[in-house]
Amino acid sequence: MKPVVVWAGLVALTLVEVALAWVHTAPVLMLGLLILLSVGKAAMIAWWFMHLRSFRPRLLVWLFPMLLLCIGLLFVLVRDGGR
Amino acid sequence: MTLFSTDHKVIGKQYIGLALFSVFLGMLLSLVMRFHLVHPDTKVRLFQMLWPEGAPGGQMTPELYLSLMTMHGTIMVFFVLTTAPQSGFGNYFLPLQIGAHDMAFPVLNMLSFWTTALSLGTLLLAFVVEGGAPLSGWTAYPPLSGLGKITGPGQGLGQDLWILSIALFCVASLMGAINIIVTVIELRAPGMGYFDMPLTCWGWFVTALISLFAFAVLLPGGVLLLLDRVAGTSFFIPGGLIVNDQVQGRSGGSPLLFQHLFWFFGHPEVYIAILPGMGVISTVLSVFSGKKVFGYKAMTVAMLAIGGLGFVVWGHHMFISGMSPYSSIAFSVLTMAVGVPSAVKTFNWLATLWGGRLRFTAAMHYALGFVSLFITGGITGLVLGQPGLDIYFHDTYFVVAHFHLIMGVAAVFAIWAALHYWFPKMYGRFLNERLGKIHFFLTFVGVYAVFVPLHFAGFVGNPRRYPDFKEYEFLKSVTGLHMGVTHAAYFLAAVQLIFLFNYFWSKRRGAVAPGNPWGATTREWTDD
Amino acid sequence: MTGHKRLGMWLFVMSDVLTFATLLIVYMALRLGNPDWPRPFTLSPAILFATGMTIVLLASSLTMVWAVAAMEAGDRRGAVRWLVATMAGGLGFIGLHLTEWRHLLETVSPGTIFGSVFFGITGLHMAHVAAGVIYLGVLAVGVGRGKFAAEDVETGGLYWHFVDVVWMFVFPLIYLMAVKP
Repeated sequence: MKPVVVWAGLVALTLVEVALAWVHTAPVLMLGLLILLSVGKAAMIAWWFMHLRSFRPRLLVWLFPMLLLCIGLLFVLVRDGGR
Repeated sequence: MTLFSTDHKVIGKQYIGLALFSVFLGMLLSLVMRFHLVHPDTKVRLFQMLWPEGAPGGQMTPELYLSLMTMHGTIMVFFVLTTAPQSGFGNYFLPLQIGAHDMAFPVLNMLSFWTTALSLGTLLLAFVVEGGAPLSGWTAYPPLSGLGKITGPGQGLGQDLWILSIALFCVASLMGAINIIVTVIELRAPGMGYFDMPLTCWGWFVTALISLFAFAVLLPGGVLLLLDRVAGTSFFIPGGLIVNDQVQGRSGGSPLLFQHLFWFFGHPEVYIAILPGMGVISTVLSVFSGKKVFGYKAMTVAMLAIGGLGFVVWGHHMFISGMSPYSSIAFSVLTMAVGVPSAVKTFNWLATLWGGRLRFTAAMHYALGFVSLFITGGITGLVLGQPGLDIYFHDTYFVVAHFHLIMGVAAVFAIWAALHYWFPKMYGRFLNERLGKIHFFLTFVGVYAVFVPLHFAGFVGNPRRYPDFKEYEFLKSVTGLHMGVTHAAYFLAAVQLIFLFNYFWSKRRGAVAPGNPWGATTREWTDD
Repeated sequence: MTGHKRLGMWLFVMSDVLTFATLLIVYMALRLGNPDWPRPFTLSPAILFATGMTIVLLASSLTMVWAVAAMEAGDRRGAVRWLVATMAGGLGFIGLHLTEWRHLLETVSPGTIFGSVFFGITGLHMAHVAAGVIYLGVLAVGVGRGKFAAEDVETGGLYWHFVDVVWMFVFPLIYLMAVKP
């Protein structure tokens, strides 16, 4: 895919996010949607701009799921934020 | 040997030197603490000379005791258990064992050592600044660590320096971890697969992978804590907090967040300290049994499993923080699961010995001692991993005894095994075998004499981090026990002089060693 | 000897991703734990301004892609040109960001919980951008003088895109979650 097209897609998703702020949804729902969109954008950058596809060596590819797992685990914190 | 060398061997020795200095400093601090615990009212002129504010008239204040405890823990965990096995021996022997000329990034390697040294210097500076060293332990929980001077004499500049030191240490460890991972991936000799590497290399590799993620979480935790202290932010400080009758004008933060961040790092840190040791022990046991390691693949998988599980069990340090009982059960079950790969390793070590032609060298003694300590300390880990028991044992001497045996002493035994085994490679001479064995037996008796009784103090409910016990009726029963432990600690410390003498004497005068003195098969002995 | 630096940078990026993720999750915990979270941003001009910053940073990622492509094609002059364009984007972002900070500091104190989060996280990100600009500057000078291989520029690119990725989370999660109702 051409870099310019990816870039246009990224800008478009950013505008979608701004539009979401316009509508004013409940914080938890809003947070969920924004995280989803941002993960999408990050994936686009990683895949097309950082050439994630050609990441070598294969042995370390599982570090990515590990990283996501660590991030996911840290969400345990969110429950304790108000205490 | 130049100071800013980029040679991996020099850097490895520098790390080991730094750890050697740190371990004796940390030990001296613990002796002062043990003395104070059994003679809380004795005035000591030396204390007054060393800490005029902390020990007016030679009488140690509780704050000074806590600052010694903090520095002892921090120095031992970070600058001994994390640096010597991983950065010290890893730097020296990883490239040799996989047939590489050096680490992948030699300059980064040098920077990583000097960042570690700077970090140690920053930490030690806390002793001499106004107010002295911080009081909040190696865990530095806020609000105690987040509010500044009002919470205690060392909580001003001393605590700032502590956090800065840990942040620097995180950066240094990240650099070291990246270096080790890339070296293992890219610089293995042609034809050497991952599963052809000695288990020591697997130990360093898995540890580096853990460090890569664990320190990445401690770093922001430290930065946020520092911001709370110097920029007046409120990440970890709850609203309406009153300290020493003063309302703290902060709001919105949560101290529990810091506990999560700290232990998300803190638990993997335990494995950072022990995994390189496990690799060394596997090698030493196999060489001196004249057999291959039993179940090589199972050993590597067990290391990876321990590393992976290490990231999902941090909640077991927080059972009493008021977490949901459902989370407690999940963390407890996962904690028990760590017992499985640990048992795999232990049984494989025993199976490695089985039917072998055992040679009881000094290194072999330490390796066997490691297995013993690993089992003793590991069993109590299963006890503490259960919320019901942990709620009782939390913050008692039972916990102190548990982690000193498994994380502290076991890892240090692995360091001794490694030193005796690799000394001929590092200095061309043997460490004296007879002195090594004498030192082993006396130390082995000494550590059990110190730490086994402390379990019983924990049964009584003896809290840790208390500077003296004379006020408490229910602790009258353990006064004699503590007296015994303190004397055992003096004995243990005195015995270490044998090691110190052996180390420096053998470096110059030890018996000259041939190229492959132990008949090992790994590359550091067989190449060139 | 190829691949070392790229792998090393990937590992650094993974580690630093976790660092920023930690910061953002701490923020989310505090955000959801404080129902009366301040919402200082108006849609216009504050959010539109920040959207502009986002687009500038994204554009600098695009020029970075072209710099890497030029270097791989052996076009050193082109690579230098695109590297300089990327640096301009980075400096532009920092300039806009500081302008925004100045305006915000009039109403939001760094001592409040929102101020802590906002200035703490965006400040750390800005430091990464600034470090990146210096890094790219070193690369641009070196490439212009005939030093450095394509892999070095690619490694620099990984870092730059990573800084961009972080902003992809900072902007929506911090700005858009604090828009005036």
